[in-house]
Amino acid sequence: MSRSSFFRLEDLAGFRQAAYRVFGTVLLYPSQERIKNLAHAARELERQSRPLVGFAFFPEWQRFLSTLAGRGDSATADLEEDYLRLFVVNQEVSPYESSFRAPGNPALTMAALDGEYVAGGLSMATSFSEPPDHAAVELEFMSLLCEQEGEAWAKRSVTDALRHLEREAGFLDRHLSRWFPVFTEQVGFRAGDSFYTSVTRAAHSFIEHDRALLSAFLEQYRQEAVHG
Amino acid sequence: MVSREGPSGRAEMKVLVCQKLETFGSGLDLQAIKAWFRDQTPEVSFQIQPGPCCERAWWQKASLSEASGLVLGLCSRDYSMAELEAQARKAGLDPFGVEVVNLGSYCAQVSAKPQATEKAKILLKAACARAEVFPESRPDSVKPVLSWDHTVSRRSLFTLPPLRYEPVASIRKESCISDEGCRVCANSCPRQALSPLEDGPMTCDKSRCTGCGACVSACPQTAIDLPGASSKQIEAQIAALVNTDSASLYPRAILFVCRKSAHVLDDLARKGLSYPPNWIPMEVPCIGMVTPTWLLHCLDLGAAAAAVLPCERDDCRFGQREVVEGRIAYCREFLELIGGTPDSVRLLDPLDEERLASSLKDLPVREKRAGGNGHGEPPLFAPGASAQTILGLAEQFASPLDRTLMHPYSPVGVVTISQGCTACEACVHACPTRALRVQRDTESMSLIFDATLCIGCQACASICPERVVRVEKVTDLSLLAQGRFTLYRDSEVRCQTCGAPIAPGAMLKKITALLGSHPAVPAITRYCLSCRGVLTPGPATVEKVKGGEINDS
Repeated sequence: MSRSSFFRLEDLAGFRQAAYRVFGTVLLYPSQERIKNLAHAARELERQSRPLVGFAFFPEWQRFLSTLAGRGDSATADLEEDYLRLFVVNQEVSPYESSFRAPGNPALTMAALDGEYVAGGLSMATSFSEPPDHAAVELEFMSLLCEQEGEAWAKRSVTDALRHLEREAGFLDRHLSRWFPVFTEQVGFRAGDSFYTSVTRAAHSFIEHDRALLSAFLEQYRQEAVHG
Repeated sequence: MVSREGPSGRAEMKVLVCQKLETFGSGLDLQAIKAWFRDQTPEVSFQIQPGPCCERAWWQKASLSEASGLVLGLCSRDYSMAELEAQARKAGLDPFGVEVVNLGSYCAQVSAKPQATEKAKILLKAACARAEVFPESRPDSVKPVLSWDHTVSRRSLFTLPPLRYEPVASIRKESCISDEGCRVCANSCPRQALSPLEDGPMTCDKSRCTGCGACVSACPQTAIDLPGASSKQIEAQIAALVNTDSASLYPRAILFVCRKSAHVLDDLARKGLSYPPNWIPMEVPCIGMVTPTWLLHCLDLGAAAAAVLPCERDDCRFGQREVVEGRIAYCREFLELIGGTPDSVRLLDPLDEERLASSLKDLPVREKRAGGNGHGEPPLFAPGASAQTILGLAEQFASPLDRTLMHPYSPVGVVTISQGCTACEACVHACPTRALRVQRDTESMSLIFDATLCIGCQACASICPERVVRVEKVTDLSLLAQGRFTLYRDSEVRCQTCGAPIAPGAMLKKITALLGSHPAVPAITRYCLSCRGVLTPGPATVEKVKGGEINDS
């Protein structure tokens, strides 16, 4: 029997919420303060991640956390330079979904995303400068959906939890899984053996795993529902 | 203390053998195996200690975090796979790259100590060869599987059900040529799990994929990965199983065992139904991935026999037993054709243990040849591998080359073209192995066929607009030996203005016949695209081409 046999779904949702949040935040501009906070969070998550050893993404996750934790005490000038070169000034790789899915008409993608966010009971904060199709925003949205799912499990509301799970799976299918793999590939190609290559690879690995896990989970629940 | 950095400066492969094997069954001489490994492969760290089959906390003594790869030689299959996978992940190892060899039922329980020890060396060496070339699994090459194999209680509703992972096929986009129309993998998949996306790339539907590996064997570009059964791993393992030096185990025979049927060999061992130690088992995810080329390749490398042990029909991932039977039938007929022993290739019955043991009793006699098969170790998955294997065997059995075998499971095919070809090259672009090519000179164009590259996939025949291309699943030794030859030749009509090629003569004839007296015909048949400008129907076109100089009458 697997170690994850008695993994509480509430805890799993909590972990996924944290993971999506970290992946989202790490794809925002790497200011000294932000990286310091992320490194602190990574050290905390490293301690809490031991029960996840049975999951396929664990080695990648572990490597990602130790890389991130290791950045806490060092200067971030190199990260800032890489970030600007890759995603902002030179825009060697676009971190926006619309660049991959509808390069000629970004409004279409953004409108679809706005719809998703509203349906999830959320809206973009006006203080936030990035458009709704930025990788960080989409990952943050997944984090919020996981948070809602976790709350539903905590309240023992299976129906609500499943509704959130369906929404998470749908969002991954309709958005992140459609463009993030190509984005990861391009970052790897442009950035070589850099921090952002390992970040996007770990995030891609996690997203791919999460999508497959949600699909398997929902399928099981559907079968259970059919067979009573 | 073993360090990650070996003498070569690289991380080390670790072989961990359960110490109980010293006394299990007829026992293994573990110290002899260790000494042999030290001599043969000093870069491998060899450790004798209780394995996961005997001790739950085995990993505490194993220093797994210092290994680059792991091979476990165990006395039985009584261990928790989930626990093993978790420990591997914890140590930073990919669980699908961890090789587990059941030395108990494959060696210690079925053979006397000296033979069992020799066999164990071969199996461990082959497992190391597999582990060394393991391409790390990717996020898209595994799928989580949850199983509620019990009544769902209220508590279990709020906990994650037991989770395990299964390997699934994943496509390396950089190698895949589905955007050129290749559908070989999709056609080989018994579950319709592979299909191209609208914009080109082939994708695998994880929920349908059973991990049988049929696509891995079929892909002409070796663009498909299946963790634990990648083409490189299979190739390395077969070569090591056949070629690892062990004078006492000769002739050798390779037994491809479906993982679901591995327990059948364990049962034989438990019941004392022994078979010659020369049968070296090689577990594969499914017999559906074992092609005729694999089986013949073993013989070509020097094995006396190759056999397959499938699972029970109802349980099969591949689900097409008639295909497996057809492949075996082809191999046997081919061996008969070239003067070999048909019985060198066998299909075994997993349901009848007595019969299975007796099927393994006799081995065909095979003389040991010095220096391998005389033509090096041909790759198993490269284009032309089937032809190379077939010709290699024909040479070994001194077969005349005027032999042909028409068979639906022939791994090679022959393309013929009947009258009416317009040399449009659609077949050339559709061919996934580049068996069809066009060669041009100033006067003519030729359609060249390389018989050694054709896999008989029918892609050329199905795309031909004239329906003149025919593909036969036939093994024709003389054509294979001949290699390339011209299938069709035509004149190359050139532009009367600049001399650039316009089209083959037959195509222009066909266009003329189709368009009849259409005024554009003279322009099309005499001038290249650049010189005739943009064509519009009607006399204006001719006028434009003429430019006031060329009289079209």
